[in-house]
Amino acid sequence: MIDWKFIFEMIGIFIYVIFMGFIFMGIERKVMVRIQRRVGFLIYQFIIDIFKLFGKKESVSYGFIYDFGFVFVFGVSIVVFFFILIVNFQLFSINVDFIVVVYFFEVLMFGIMFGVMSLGNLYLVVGVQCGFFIMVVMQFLYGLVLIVFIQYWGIFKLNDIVVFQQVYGWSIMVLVLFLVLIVFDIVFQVMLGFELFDIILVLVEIFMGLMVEYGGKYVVLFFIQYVVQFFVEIVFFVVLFFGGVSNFFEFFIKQIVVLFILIFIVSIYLRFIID
Amino acid sequence: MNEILIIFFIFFFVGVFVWLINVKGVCEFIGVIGVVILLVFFVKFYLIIVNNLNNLIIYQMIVSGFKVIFILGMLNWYFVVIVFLVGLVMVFGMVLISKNGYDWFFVFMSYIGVFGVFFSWDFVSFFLFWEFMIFVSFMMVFKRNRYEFFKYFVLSVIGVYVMFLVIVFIYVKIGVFDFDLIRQVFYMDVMFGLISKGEIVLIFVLFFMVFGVKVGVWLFYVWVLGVYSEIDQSYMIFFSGVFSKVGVYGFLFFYILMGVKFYYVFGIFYGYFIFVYIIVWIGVIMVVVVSFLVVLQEDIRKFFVYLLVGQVGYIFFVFGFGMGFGFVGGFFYVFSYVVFKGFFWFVIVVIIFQIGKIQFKDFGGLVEKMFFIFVMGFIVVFSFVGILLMVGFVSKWLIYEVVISVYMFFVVGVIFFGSVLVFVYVVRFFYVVWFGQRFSDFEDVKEVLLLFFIVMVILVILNIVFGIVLGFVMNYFNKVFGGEVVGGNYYKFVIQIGIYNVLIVVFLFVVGLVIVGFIYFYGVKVRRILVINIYQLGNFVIEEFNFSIRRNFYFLFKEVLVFWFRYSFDKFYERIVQFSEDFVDILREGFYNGNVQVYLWYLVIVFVILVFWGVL
Repeated sequence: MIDWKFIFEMIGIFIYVIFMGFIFMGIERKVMVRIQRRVGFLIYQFIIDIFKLFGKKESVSYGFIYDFGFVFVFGVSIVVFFFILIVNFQLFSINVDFIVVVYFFEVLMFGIMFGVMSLGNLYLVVGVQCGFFIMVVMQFLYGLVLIVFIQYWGIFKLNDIVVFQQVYGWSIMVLVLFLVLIVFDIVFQVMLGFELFDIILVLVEIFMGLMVEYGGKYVVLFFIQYVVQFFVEIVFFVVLFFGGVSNFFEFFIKQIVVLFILIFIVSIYLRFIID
Repeated sequence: MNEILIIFFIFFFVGVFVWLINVKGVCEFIGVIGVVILLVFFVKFYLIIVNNLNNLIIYQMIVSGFKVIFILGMLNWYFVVIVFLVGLVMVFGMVLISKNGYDWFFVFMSYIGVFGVFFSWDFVSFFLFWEFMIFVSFMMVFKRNRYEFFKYFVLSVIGVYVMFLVIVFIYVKIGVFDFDLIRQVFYMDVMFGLISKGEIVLIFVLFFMVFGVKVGVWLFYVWVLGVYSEIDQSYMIFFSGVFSKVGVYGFLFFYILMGVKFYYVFGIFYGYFIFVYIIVWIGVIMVVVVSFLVVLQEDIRKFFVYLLVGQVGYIFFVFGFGMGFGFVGGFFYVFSYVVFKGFFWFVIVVIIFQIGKIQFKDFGGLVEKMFFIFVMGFIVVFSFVGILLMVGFVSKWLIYEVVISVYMFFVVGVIFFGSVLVFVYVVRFFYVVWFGQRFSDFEDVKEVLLLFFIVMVILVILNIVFGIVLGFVMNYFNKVFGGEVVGGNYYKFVIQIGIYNVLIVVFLFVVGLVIVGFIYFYGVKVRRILVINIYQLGNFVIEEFNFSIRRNFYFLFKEVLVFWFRYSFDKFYERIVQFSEDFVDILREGFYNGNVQVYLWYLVIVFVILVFWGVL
């Protein structure tokens, strides 16, 4: 028998994730420009952009693998999304363990670089080379973070990690795990391609111009995928260090806290520029 | 006649027949048909073995007073089928590359050697077939490259003599060759302590040398690069895929026969057996070190060789955990290794065959010319790096779970690091071969032949089917270990610490694709950009000017690792050889120098010693 309630829950959560993901990206951009004493744009500007881009008359494609890169990464992002705990909605999180989710995050980065690199252009390839170099170093840190985390709690399922934190206190309250959080934040910035680790995007821009200029529906795909990834990784952060969440308000507050930590660190650095 | 004997004779007669007739076309036909028929034969054995666990296929005989035993049971059946899978890929490769009946003859002899080792249930037959297998591999190697052959020869001969010594040593200590009896004795010796700690360490070191050389583990992999890349590429898959598995099988048996005693003697450190730590860390170092070497290779054959060795590192360290779950992880990795590696190898062989080049700098932009091979390469790379829904993913997942389940978290971190290096080097392979600007001399490159098309499609199906419906393989393991090591059903795996529901992942991935497909197809029309425009970036670049990075692709890594490249086991062994040569030279010049007067002095000294000794 079809569980319609569950299906509607999934659809509802998915729409919420995309909507809030765009809002978070807007907040991130808005706070950043305020720190830089500029005016910036609207918080929901990204949503307007999406509709505008989707309505463009023509898109430019650079080949089959380029298209496939987007499609694949988007597909994997959605898979990851369904395996994350969001408030009281477990979705499909009981069907896989921690390791599978972590591995999917890794695949996301691979897919993006794979698609971009398929163009074969010199600058893009240099970008991917740098990207992989960063990724290798980042993975070592990521591995160490996971080691300490799992060693401390001794469990591997996201549900159990939340339950343990509710019983024994949040991870962030433990000194060792607080230090882990600092390292994890660096990893987090790398995964999302934020400043200091944004060399891949910089080189892409040399070739294709700013992201918003490189073709209607591809940008839509890219943004939606990025938003899902962005949201999911924030949730992952909250689940690991802030004891999970029991309602949407708490969820929102904790996400904002994580987001602001990220923004404040990122805002210290200048944008990577190649003249 | 006993089934085991029939198998040996079939291989022998087919091999001799093919060698004698030596007609192009006929050799290939018999080779392919022979292997396929024997594969069917072994599938038939499965029913006998699985349905009658206590009624194994056994053949015994007495040779010079020693009882020689051959057994076909559930454990070695698995390895035999693995050999057939590799062999099947190899024969298709040989159809493409092999030149005469000589190659085919030694291929069939290789089968005999390998099966002999797998079926052996005592150290006499194990040793004899091990030697036979090495002899056959010599015959395939020595006609190609003498220098590489020499390295392989020296290490293998040392391995064989060491094996002989250790077998004799065990026989002297406990008086039996039979595996079942040896196992019982070593289990009981945990209580009685007849074999001392020093002796156990000696046995371990000697066996490690024997099997380590064959597997090509860290310390002993110096022969691997030269031999694998120099021999016929069709035979290389057998050499790397099967002979290394024989080494792994040797380690496995060594574990099964004597593992308990080793655990006991080496003791415990931080909650786990020291013996396990040793094996695991050798495997882990192998994975990481070799992965860095793969990243920096400029020759596609060497790239693949190191890639294989790195993957064997995974098998090695998972088996190192030793418990039931560790064995399942190892067994499954062996299986997936064959499935995706055989496929990867086949793709590379076809590329080399069609293009006729082996250096990465000579490839590029082949995606439009060999689109089918490109798609195949794409799938195999996905399986290889462990992307979801592929057989490679499940094997990686099992490895992580095994390591986590024994709380070796630092190993998890390093393996995580190693798995990213896999991403790094496959991307390089992909970019250099398929993307970038195409050389003008690739205009006439053709797609793959129909036969290879069929083989590749079969391999794709295997990679996907065993990435989703794994229950078949897991059920087999549960039967081998006589309990539910991995729970769940055909598409869901439940273990003590984790869960992986493939069906749900497939479903969600399809949902994701539907959503993205909607956006993709519903969106506006797409205008394709020509490849040449992508390189030009608005500048005028003539077509002859190749605007791609092919050589020193990961120069960044090279710069970082330059310090470590000063050290290598190859250089270390070469120094030992050089030192030995110098030492022998000194001896020769000092004592055996051709001067008769000096020899007379030796004679006088000997006489004086004998006189003082009272002999004369």
